[in-house]
Amino acid sequence: MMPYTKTTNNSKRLSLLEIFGKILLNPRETFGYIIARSSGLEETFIFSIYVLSAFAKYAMIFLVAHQISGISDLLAAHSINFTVFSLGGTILAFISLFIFAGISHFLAKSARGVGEPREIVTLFTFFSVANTVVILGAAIALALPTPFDIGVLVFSIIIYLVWKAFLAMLAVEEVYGINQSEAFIAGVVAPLLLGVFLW
Amino acid sequence: MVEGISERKSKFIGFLIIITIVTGTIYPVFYATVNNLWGISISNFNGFNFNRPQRTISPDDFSKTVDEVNMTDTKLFENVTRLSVVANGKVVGLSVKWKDLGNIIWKLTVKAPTDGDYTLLTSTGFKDNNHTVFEFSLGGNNVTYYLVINRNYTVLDEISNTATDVGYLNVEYIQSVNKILSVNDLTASFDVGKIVLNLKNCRIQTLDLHSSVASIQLELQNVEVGNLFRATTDVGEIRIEGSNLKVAKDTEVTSNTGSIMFSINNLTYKSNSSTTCYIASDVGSIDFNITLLNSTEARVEAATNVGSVSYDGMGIKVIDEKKTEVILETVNYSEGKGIKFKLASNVGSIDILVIKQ
Repeated sequence: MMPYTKTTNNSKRLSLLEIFGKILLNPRETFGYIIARSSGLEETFIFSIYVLSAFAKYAMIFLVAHQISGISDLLAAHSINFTVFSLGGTILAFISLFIFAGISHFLAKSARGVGEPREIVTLFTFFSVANTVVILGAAIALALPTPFDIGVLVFSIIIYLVWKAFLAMLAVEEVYGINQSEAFIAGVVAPLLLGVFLW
Repeated sequence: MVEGISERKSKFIGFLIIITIVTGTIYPVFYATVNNLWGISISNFNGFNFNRPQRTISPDDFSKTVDEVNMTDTKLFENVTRLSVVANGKVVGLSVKWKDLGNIIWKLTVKAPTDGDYTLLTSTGFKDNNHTVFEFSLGGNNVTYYLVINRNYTVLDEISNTATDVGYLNVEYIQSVNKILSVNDLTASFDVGKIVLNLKNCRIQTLDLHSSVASIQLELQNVEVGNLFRATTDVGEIRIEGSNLKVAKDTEVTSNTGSIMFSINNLTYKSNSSTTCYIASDVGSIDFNITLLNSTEARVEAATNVGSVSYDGMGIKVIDEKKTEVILETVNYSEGKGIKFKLASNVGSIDILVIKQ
């Protein structure tokens, strides 16, 4: 099997908006750019956007759940309010990001990949882009009656998970230089089995 | 050229992504705040049920200008038998201050917006050099106000103009002769206004106060509340202090996020009725301090979810005690004969001092 060749990037410096836009249009090349050229300040900003997007995702999901009478009663019975759900979900997303990156790093290194944990954490923060699918789906669901709101929300979460899996696999490939199947195991399968992929 | 279009396209997409995330953060926070989804409603709380009444006051436009309308009708009060003060406006400034002197004079000044919808059911006043002056100002939209003075009980002291854009209620009654002021309804509900009551020697049938954002402060001396005593805030603290308070059958002091202090020396109740007082805060501490004299018996049930409960006192016994719950009773308390207090705080500590003499 041919060894994976990391994407090189010799183009001009990109703005933060361009980076986020290009994640959608050309994620592989953009990941290569970020690994090669991103600054600490950019990484900090991207990480903040990730945390904010995680909060927005759980907050919007709570609003949809709150408008469904059976689910809102269930949440109230277990004392799960907006604070607990959205902030708790955000904290879980924050912690699971590092656990996720740690698992991928360990498995990629086992597959003789070469890369830094900081790089994989930086690329994983671009899951915020996938979070927008859930945010938009929830926004649409809020305007729909039950059961359509449930359907739209579930569908958006499925799209989010598929897109997240794709980004995770690409990120592991780019950082560690391993092949696609190894990257899929390290970046998707293992974290999924260990329960850190879903957050 | 192709690179330029691609650059613009990716910037636009990046902008959309950021805007989606930011909007997805702001909207739920706003929605949760307006619909009070942040906290846990106090119900099924560690073994006892407590249904907190829901009040919804929407934000108001505080930018209305107020024009002055002087009313100088000199109609004389003769056969008035009760005093009722009701202020129920979204933006109201109301200040009433009076003391008992025997002879009465009123000068009523009403300030109201020119486009306001308000009703003044009773407005009168006259002035004499030998008499005191009552000046009453209010400004707001959709204001209902009526003031009926019982000439036999009280007179009114001078009040300076107190109308503001954000509204408050300040009521102070100081009695100089041994007479009881009888008040039918004292009700006030404000979005942003602060409520301060300083009452002495009063008998009030209904005392119902709500301030959404600001605090409620009650200084009560020899006050009896007959049917309903309710003080609630969303954000502001509640302080009720004084002595010789006879509480109503239904007494409720609650706040969403404010702390509550309830400190009364010689607390009593109507002996022919079972009385339950609810004092609760979602996020706020409770400082509960009462002294019971003579034959007044009481039971205090206190519980908190996140916080601690501490107690001290004299003449009380501990019925049950856990880290976050305690039940205390005076020695001769029995069900239906005494006042039952239910103190609850979701996130906050509860400090109890009960002295039974």
